Amino acid sequence: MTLEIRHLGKQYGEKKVVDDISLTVRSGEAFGLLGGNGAGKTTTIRSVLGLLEHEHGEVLWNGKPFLTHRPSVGYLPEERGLYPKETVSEQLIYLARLEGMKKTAAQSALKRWLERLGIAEHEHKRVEQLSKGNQQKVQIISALIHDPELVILDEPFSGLDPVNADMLASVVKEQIAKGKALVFSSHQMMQVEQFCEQICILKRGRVQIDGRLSDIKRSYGRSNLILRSEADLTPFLDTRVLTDIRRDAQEWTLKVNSEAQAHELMRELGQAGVPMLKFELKEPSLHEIFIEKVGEAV
Amino acid sequence: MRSFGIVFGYSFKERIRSKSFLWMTVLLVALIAAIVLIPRLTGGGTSTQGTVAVVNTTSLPVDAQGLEASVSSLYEWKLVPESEQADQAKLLQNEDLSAIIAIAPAAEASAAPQITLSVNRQEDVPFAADLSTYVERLNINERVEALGLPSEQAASVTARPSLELNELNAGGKSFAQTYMPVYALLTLMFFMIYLFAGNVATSVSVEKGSRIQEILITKVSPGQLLAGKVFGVGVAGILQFAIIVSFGALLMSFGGTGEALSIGNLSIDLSILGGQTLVVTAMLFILGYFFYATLFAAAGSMVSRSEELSQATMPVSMLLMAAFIVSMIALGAPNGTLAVVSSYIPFLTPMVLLTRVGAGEPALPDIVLPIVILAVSTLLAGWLSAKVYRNGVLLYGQKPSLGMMLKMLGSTGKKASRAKISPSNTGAKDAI
Repeated sequence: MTLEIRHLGKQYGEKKVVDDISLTVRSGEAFGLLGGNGAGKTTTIRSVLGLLEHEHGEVLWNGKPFLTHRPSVGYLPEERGLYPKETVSEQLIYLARLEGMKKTAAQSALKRWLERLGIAEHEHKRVEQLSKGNQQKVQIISALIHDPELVILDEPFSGLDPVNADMLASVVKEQIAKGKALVFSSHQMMQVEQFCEQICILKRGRVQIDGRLSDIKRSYGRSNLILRSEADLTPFLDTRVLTDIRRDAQEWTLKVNSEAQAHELMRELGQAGVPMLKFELKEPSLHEIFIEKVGEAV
Repeated sequence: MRSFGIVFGYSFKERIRSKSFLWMTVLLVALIAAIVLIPRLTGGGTSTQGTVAVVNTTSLPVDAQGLEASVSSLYEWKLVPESEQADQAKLLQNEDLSAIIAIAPAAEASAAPQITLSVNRQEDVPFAADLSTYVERLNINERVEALGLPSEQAASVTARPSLELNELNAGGKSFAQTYMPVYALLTLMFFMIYLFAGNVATSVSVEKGSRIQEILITKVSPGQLLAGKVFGVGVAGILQFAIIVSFGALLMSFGGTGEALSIGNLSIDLSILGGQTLVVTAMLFILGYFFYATLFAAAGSMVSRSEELSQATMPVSMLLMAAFIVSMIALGAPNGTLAVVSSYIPFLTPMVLLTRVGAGEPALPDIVLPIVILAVSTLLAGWLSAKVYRNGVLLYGQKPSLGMMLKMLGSTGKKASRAKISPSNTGAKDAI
């Protein structure tokens, strides 16, 4: 099963908020849609789901128009929403039934999920009586209770404490293992690196970079050099043409242009007789790639 | 269709379980019980307006039967001797009497007797003219008798003109009889539509305010969502109406008298209106509800928070109020130009046509045509409202206005399109 977005475009008046975005999401795979605030992530998701009308491009599910051959979708919107005055079980069963589940099936699925997320005792409470974290859990159940083929999570980790974030992470991994197609929008790179094989970084509605995360990283080369020494390396490094030198206690991190430059540096350090404890060449982190591509802090 | 059923069931259940539904039902049932039972418990069924004491010091044969027949049947007449007149005055002051009438001989023998009418307020006694005529006739009779004329002559002097009522609109509805039932139905219709259609708006705005809307419309099309909600709340309204009406009917038949429901001396007897009127009324109730409910829903979909709801629904509330006011004016002349013309205007039709059918005698085409127009308008309103709703449910951070509503109607897309309606930053911010 494949979700395919081809040349999607959406504009408000003259302003293009989504500009020619193409991407493919396969089942059993998590796709990370990254970007700063206002990059067009939510607009892209809403256009895919048909909540917004788009002017250009098409959205396909298994090669057919998405809206007419719509799979069952589990959607966690960026703006969370539940009926505050209704009980947990009532609204979750209502939402599950709207996705075509039978009432009894919805009830047993609900029981399972409430147990799984540790909020079984809140089944008959009104949502407004629950803590924020528990409301988030209810929201997550609302997206997954009907066992959807396509899961779209818009900023799923925002507002979660570390315990609940871990819980969500395990749920997400489980969904990937079950072969769901997962779209993930976020500006928290840690989580994205944890799950997503495919990513796409957006900036002002345009794709800055996309593809397999490992390929992207490899294309950047191992340009991060980490040095550790009991001696002070600063005078030595200052005489070389190097950029982004950072020092944390006995560790220096810097950028090299190529692996050859790094090896050259190691040779020179050896010749100078500097006692080295660590010499490591690393790929850039997603965070660094993001900063470079988006060009602004997140 | 399946989604419609689920939304319908959910909306229906949500409505009938709400506190306002329970209290409204209890309150109206209690009100009917009070109207039916209280007169029976206190008044014991007497329908008089009060008691009038009559002190007659002339030789005229004033008696209670004569007063009741010739002056007013609404009062109980009590003849008292002159000696008790002071006590009666006290009763009058305490409002235990409606009036005291003193009929005394005139100072001059040739003059007519002197009538003194003592009341607390002049408007208490509407029968002064009739009383004067009654006494005058007794006086004439007595004097003619004193003249000792032959009986033929005497009869010709005291003969009274014959009065024949020539009713041009014979068999037509009497204003006095139809006024109260139609008034009651109009008021009921106004409140039921306002309550239930307003409830649809609240429900829409709650879903929007709580942002659950965004999840719902990925599962159900906005049209089905809107229809399910309108029907669910509507059927709950019909159920409530049925509970109230059947309780009222039960109570009246239980009372055993079979009397019409009455407030004061104005009776509300729906059977006066006849079967045709009740069928038309039911149709108008249903169409009126759907017409206004869809408009209220469209207004509700414009707000970002439920606090803005009353402002957004104001124009629709005004239309409904206008319908109520026009129908009340039309009640005075149910076959007049105002009533006829306004009954064809869809947003006025539900109430004005009820007035015309209930209190007037419109021809069949005059009933059918406005209903057809209303039905078509309701479909149109439903279609337009679904359009506004579709666009409105994802629109946040903008003040609801009529202008924006019109822009939404102008947008062609099947799905929400904010491109044409929110070039400003407030709206666009939310979308990104």
